[in-house]
Formats: sequence, structure tokens, C-alpha cells
Amino acid sequence: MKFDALLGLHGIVLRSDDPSRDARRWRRALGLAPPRKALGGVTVGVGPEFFVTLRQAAPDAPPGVEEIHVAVSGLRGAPGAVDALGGRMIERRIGRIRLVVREFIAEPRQRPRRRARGKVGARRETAPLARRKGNR
Amino acid sequence: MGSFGAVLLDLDGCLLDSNDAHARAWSRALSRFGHRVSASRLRREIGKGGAELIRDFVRPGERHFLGDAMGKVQTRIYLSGFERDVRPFPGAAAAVRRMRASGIPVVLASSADRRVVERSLRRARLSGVLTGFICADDVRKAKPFHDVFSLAIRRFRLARRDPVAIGDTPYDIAAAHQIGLPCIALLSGGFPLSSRASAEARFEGLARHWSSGRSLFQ
Repeated sequence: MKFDALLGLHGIVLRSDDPSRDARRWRRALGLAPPRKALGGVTVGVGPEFFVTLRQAAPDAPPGVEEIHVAVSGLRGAPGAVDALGGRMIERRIGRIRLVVREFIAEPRQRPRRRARGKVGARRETAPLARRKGNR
Repeated sequence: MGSFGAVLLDLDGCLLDSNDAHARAWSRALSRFGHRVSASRLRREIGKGGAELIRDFVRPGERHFLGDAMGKVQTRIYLSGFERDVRPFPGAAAAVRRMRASGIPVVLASSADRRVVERSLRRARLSGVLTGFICADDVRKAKPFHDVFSLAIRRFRLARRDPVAIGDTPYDIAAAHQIGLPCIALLSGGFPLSSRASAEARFEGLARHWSSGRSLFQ
């Protein structure tokens, strides 16, 4: 795989036995926008530059990391088609994990959602314990 | 002020009356990434490279990961929707031809994308006239950093020819002064006069600059 510069990790796809519950946890922990259905699971994030997707774990695939998305510049050899996040990408399988290397070249197909209002973690600090437990 | 022997010339606002068109294209590009920024607000930032131009309007992570994509989208929008309405300033291209005829090297030093520079030069009928050009694709950091000017001086061996930068924005002046390069400001780009106070000289436009400022050159 050839590219000019590694920009960093911008997304992760996790297998979960309860994707909606775990998406809410990720949202609360990082103060992200409300979960939505995308990328074959429940996704939280601020836009293409950072997302966490939770997919339902199958009986033969226990909870864990399924995909890691890395952004680069100057990616060579990628197909011309632009994906939903506005990038061209190349995939590799490394053990059980699918590595997606992407160069962003266009706008995302779905307009990014606004970040949740308020301080990061504020809701978790103020919510009653019983309610917090109920959310999990 | 010394006698100059080479020119590092900006493109937008100097050769072409294109600053408004770029601002509108940026406004549209940013809206596609979910940011509503008016063209009039962006107008003040025109002249900076894309990564610096978007700094105040997008999240830091977004700038890091999507800054290049935003620039590509802006270029696409500009070339497809605005470029055909952009006009060269009257007499600007002729002034460049006269500089070249006088033996003065003229290197275009722009923060614009290579495709924009090449098409703009064709539009101004200057493709084969200039000594060469440096654009945003050639450097890591475009204006207001000095890199386009530094690279132009190095690549075209202009250091001993007493070069001068000619630009229309405060970012041209800042970039030039970072490396001790004098800068002549043109008022044609539409920036307020006060923002160009630190320039070594000021002229209305490129045509006027050459007709009344000829004595500045060797």
C-alpha cells in the first residue's frame, strides 16, 4: 500500500452484543452526536474524521474490533469510486481485523450531524444513578 | 527602496479579478461539509492557502483529516461554476509581457491549486510568457507562510537578482516579509488599504504599477 503521509486513525468498527447500548456509552463518554444507523451498524461520531460504529456480534464472532479506518494523503492504487464518507479506499485483512486505508477527496454523502450540546460528560455527571443504570 | 531585478507575482487579485469568485466557491464547498460561512466572511481570508483559510471555520480534527478534501471540493466548484465568469484585470497581462520583454524574470507564486493556476494562465494568455510558477501543490504550507516565495527564489535562482513580491493581500506581505523579501501591494484585490500599510509600495493595479513604477526595476 503506497501513500504520502499517514494522517491518523479516524474510525473504528466494533462488534457488540448490544450495539445501541454501547453506542450510547460511547456518545456519553465523548460527548458525541446522537447515534444513527450507518456503516452497517449504529454509529456515533462527529463526522467522517471520527466515528465509532457498533455492529451486532454474531455467535461465531465475539465482541471485539472488526475494522480500523486510517486516513492518509496521496493514496496510490485506490479505485476511483468515492465512498459514503467522501474518500477512496484500499482494504487489507490483518488477522481478524479489516484495515481500511482512506484518502478523503470529496464531501461526505450524508451531511455530518452537529455535535451534542453541552460539556463532554456533563450528562453523565448530572444524571441520577438509577437512570444511568437504566440506560445501560 | 532598491532596484528590483525579478518579480514574484501573485495570481488572484493581481492578474485576475477572481477573489470574490474564490470566496463564493469556498462558501459553497464548506456548506457541503456542514458549515455555513458567508462568502463575505470568507472574502477576508482569500489569499491564504486552504488549510489556513478554513482554520477558523472547522473543527481541528476536521481540518487535519478533511482539509485537503475541502480544498479539492472548492477547486472543483470554482472551476466548474465560477471560473468562466472571472476576467483578467485590464492591462495586467500586457504589463507582465512588458516586464518579460525588459528581461525581468517573472515567477507566479500562488496559494492556488495547480489546475487553477494553469487554467488561469491560459485565460490570461500568459502560459508561455512567465518564467515559471509555484503553486500550493509544490509546498507544504502556502501563504501566509513564506514557502511559495522561498521555493520560487530557489528553483528559479533569483536570490542574486534582488527579487520583489507583488501581491494584493496582507498574506502576500506577511509571507514576503518572513524572509526579508520586499513586497509591492496592489489595491486591485479589494482588501482595505490599511491592511497593506507595511508594504514597501502600493499601486492601484498591475498595469498602473508597471507604467508608473518602472523606475523601481533594473
